[in-house]
Amino acid sequence: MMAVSLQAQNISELQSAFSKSYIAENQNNYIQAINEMKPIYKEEDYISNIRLGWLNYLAKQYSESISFYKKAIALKPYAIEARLGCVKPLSAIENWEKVKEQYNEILKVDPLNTTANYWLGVIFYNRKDFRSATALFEKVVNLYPLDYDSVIMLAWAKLYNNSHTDAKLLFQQALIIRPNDNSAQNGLQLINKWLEVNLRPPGQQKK
Amino acid sequence: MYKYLILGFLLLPVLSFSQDKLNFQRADSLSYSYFQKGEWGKLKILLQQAFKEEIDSKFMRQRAGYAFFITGDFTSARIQYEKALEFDQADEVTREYLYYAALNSGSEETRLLAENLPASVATRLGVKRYNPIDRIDTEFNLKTNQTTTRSNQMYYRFGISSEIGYRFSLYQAYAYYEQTINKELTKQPEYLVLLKYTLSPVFQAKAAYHHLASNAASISYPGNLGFIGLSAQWRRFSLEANTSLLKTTLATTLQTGIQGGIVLPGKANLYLKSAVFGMYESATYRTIFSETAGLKCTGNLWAEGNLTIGNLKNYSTYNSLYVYNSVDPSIFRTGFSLVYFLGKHLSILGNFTFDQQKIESSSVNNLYYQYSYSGGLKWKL
Repeated sequence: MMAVSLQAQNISELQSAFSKSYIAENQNNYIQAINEMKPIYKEEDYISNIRLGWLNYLAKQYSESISFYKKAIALKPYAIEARLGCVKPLSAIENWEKVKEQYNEILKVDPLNTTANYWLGVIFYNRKDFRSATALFEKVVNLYPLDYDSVIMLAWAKLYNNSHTDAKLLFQQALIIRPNDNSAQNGLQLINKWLEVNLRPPGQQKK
Repeated sequence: MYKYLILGFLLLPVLSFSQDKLNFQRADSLSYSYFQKGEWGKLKILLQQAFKEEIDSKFMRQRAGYAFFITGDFTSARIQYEKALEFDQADEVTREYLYYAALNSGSEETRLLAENLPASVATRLGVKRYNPIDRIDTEFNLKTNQTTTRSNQMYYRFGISSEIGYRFSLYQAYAYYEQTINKELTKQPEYLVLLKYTLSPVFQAKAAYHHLASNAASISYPGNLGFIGLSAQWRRFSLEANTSLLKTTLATTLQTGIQGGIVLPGKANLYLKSAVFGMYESATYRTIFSETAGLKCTGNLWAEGNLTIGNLKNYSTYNSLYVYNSVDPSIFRTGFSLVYFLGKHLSILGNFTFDQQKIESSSVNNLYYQYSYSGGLKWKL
């Protein structure tokens, strides 16, 4: 009976601390939001670690944020949300190697995770590894053929990967989703120029 | 009045703490501002404090690296760019400046880093995968002494260095040594081949073969030396273990050594190296100690001093480039070198060395002094 009462008291304290912390966060007072969490914080509590990871990220205390997210990941290694959370402070400090690591871990658990596939694709795209980027964007487009961001990224990755025919279809698809889209129009212009130069009949090649 | 003064003193640390307290935003924006203004001293102090407080980012590491690089502290710059690379291995700015920092600090990993240079930078710098003739060098040396029975010694060397890919390097040299002892001429043409293989940014393996075609009073005493070594370079520290075996018609000498070094922070790039070698020859064992210290004096001038103690008979050094197999062994050596980098391609070397030698055939401790003068040129193509 006593144990139940203590547990109830603890839950009520926990709910109250979280509630106060949410209010402080909504007022953009992140340090206050962190301080509200401190009295009830337990290292073995997943949710508190996630919360403090997030609040420290908002407060731009990135190393602390990463440290809380890492604790959460250690507590629940299959929890995708903890890894997606950890990606935020890692991206803020431009630690792209660790960001990649987290996305790869997510994809081990959930190979079709849209966020991980898309953003890992963006990392590869920025590194001019268009083959790897294409493979990842393709997974997202297969799941969400009408998602403009994924379609346009796949189109550009295909273009730089010299798959001009596929790229053309994808740029056209992007224009259906978002008519008059600049990026898609630029892509199509580049393809048309390329076709003009490379598919001219023999003897009519530009000097 | 005193009450307010005491209160003031009590509050002072609190006030100064709040002023100095660093957070990510402050460290990031302030370091960017110092970077733009070129306030390298302030930038270094700020970021060193930030890193201590675990406030870190790729851009902060790049800024710190650049501040060290521009002020001539190349090893510190290399360390910062290596950290930046841990954040983002694809960053082209990091790769480029890491290469420059390694090149200027004389790091063994320079060629390995050249492989990862952005294509445009590699083209601009003329970095190639294969360089049959990457560098040529020559050295001339004259040794004088006070004895009547020993003439001056003369030594010269020509060398060619080749780059075979980004991990292998090959150095070949032809050298010639000559001295007249008791009216009998000793000649020694030599050939050296040294192969280095960079296993990783930290480890390097090397092997060498050195042939000594010694000839004294028209009698040949050929010698062959084999050398292997493994060296490691991590941040400011270096460590090497090596061993060599010299076989001549007169003796077999096994030399095993271990050496450690450190590059201290600062634009002087002060480095210190210590080495100890065990020499096993004719069933006897002896030890040699060697100390080296060097620094960058001005923009293009480097200086190095060294001290070697022990019986140096058949002692080999600099990856077995030099084999001290003259008849009279040195028992104490100290020297001073200057290297001047004349532009991007040419460096000029000058060296003075003092030796205390022992006349080999003398039963008593018959010692004499030897003064050595060297000049050399190194041309990087």
